[in-house]
Amino acid sequence: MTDPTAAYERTRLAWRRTILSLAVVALLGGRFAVEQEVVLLAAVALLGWPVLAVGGAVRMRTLAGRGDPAPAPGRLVVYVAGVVAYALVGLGLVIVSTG
Amino acid sequence: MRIITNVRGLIRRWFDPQDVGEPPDYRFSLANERTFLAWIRTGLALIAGGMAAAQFLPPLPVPHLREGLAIGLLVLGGAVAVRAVDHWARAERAMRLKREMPPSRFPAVLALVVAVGAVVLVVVVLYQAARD
Repeated sequence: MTDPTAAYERTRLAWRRTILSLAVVALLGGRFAVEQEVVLLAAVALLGWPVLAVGGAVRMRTLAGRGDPAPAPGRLVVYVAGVVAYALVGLGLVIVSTG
Repeated sequence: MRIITNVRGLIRRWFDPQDVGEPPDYRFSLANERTFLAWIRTGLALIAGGMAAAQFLPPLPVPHLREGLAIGLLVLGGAVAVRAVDHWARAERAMRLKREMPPSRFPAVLALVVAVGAVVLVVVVLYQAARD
């Protein structure tokens, strides 16, 4: 890579792709929860996404600068928690749908 | 007791791999971050597959196979996400301490699991087609 800003842009794009993937899962989970009429899980699935999306957008903003990008370990753990939360929403809905 | 201490140490490392060594070239840190995000998206794809299997698949000939498949995919997706941050923290520490990168066997494990699952599904589909 001869372009020193390429790393920043590639990382921003990776965050964008991740936010989009989260949207797909939020919609699938939200649709399933609405179908099963579980309001709590629908709220978690649908309202959880904007929180994660904003966090991702903030990280993208940090990476838009030119200085050494601040590391983001706490933020990364939040995203792991978010993905695990979506998995748990899915598991809860599978149980509800077979019960 | 040691298991609890080990798990707490593991989780602490996820939050603060920067408490050792020297900062690496920012491009390596960003590459590590992109790898983490790629694994997160892999986990999300598995979770999406599990949710789709639970909602959209008709009941399969083997009882509870559809639910088992959905649960397996959802659990696997969550596990991939947890593994993503663990690998990210290990890699960050290795770069800071100028050691070799941690070995990465998980991609091969995941590929095998997915391949076995796909073979099982092919068998199920053929069985269902033969029955009808």
